[in-house]
Amino acid sequence: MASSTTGEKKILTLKGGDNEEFILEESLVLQSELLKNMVKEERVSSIPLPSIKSKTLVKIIEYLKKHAELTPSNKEEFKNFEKEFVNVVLEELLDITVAVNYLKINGLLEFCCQAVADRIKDKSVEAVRKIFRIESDFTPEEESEFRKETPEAFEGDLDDTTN
Amino acid sequence: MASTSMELSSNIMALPSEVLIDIFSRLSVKHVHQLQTVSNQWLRTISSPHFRRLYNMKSMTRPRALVVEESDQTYSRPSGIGPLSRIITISTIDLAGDNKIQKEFSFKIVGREYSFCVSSNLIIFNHKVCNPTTREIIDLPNYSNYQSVSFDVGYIPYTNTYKIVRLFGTDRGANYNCNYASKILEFGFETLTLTDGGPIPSSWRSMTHREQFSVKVDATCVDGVLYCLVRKGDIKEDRIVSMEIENEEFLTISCPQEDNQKLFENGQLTDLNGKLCLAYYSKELSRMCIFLLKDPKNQTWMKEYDIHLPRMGDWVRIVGYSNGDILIQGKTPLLYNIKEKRGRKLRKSNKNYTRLYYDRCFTLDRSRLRMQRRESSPIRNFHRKVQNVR
Repeated sequence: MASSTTGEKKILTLKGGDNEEFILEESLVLQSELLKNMVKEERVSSIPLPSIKSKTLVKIIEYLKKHAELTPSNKEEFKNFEKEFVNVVLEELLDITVAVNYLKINGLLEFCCQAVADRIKDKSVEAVRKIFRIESDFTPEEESEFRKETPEAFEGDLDDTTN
Repeated sequence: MASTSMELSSNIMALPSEVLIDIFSRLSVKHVHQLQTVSNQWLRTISSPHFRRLYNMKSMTRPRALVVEESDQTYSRPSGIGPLSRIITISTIDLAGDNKIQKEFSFKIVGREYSFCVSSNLIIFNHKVCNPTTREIIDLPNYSNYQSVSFDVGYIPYTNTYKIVRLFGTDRGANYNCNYASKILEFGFETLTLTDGGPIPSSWRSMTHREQFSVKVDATCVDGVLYCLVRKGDIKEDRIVSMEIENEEFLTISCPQEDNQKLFENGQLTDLNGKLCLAYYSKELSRMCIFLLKDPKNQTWMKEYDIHLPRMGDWVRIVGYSNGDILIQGKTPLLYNIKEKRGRKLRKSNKNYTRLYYDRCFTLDRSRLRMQRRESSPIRNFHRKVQNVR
């Protein structure tokens, strides 16, 4: 993972939830406000991130690398990468969003929020509940009142499980 | 349960509320309203004033066009007996997308009274206010006996409130008509504050402040300040009376001067990307000249654009700014691209008002709110209600 000419570059270790270690250049993690503060203030060389799955961390590091390589000439390529980046199963997208919010990587957070919003867009209440596995905690009376008030909110898109 | 945190993380319920709010704020206001019924958590989040304010702030960057069409007046019954009525049709145009016009709903106004005003997201007519987002139509309290000149609406984003400002002539003489007077008259103001969720106050708040002028030419609200362009006899004496919507402080601003008198025939005001815009249109010259108030304190104007507008007809209005385009209403609404200096026409329609429109979480009266119905809702008739009011 480390390139051969990084003699002077600082190296940092991130420890994922399942104790897997990721070694990367310190400059990369500076895109994360949280890690930037940790590195600057405490001069640490290893940061444990127990709440983030390794699988999620791999994705985020992949993004950080791509983003660091972003130049005006490969903008299009980066856009395609971003599109592919969020083209994952919903659970994974939510994992990434939660982690990115925790790490405070602002640009990516915006992008993740939009990606989650895109999956909710135009979906009925029932479909949203199904996709996000949310159980209604309203009383049966409230529930039937809602259905009476806005029947269209409960119509259509019921079989949408593409997420 | 050692791995609880990891299992939880793959659930949308685990998203911190700030992230959930961010996600919701990217959806249409209609959809967001519907999603309140997903769960108690979503209901709490979406109905919180914090979310509603944030949503409204964000939507300032994505205006749509609101097109309000007014039908010709017809008699309620074919025999020609009975009060005249007209049908108001509300549509929106997605300016960022395909510019397609989408019909939202329509309603009928019955009666002789003819006040009609479309301003900053709200429509005011016949002692009523309509919020096109929620399709609420609610009676306004009675106002003073003085003759109305106009109703204008200001919006304060950080408190999510509207204020209706009613301008009236203070003379109660028998032959008095303040709308067409050429001499200098006295005018007064009264206001009504509408808070999110209501209720609508039971009376208007009258103000002691008076202004002297002969005609009110136009008005607009920019960044919490209402600006009225008024004429004092001669065109050269046009000036702008401004009122801070929140603390109701008044100020007078002089208009920019230019040599070409022909350009000063048709003054109009609008909010152009957060700045006060004073535009002059000359049909004879097919030109619109646009000034922006760069610094409200020092009253410095800048001539920003000079647009060539051929074949636009008599009645041309600058509407506002959206994504690099200036929306102009004429016989046909037009999106004028500032960079390319080129206009592209939108769908043509009769007798309409086009305004910029923002998706806002705002209800006039929560207790009466029924969440929005689909487009197919039948035309609603307010005949009986209007009669009751009188």
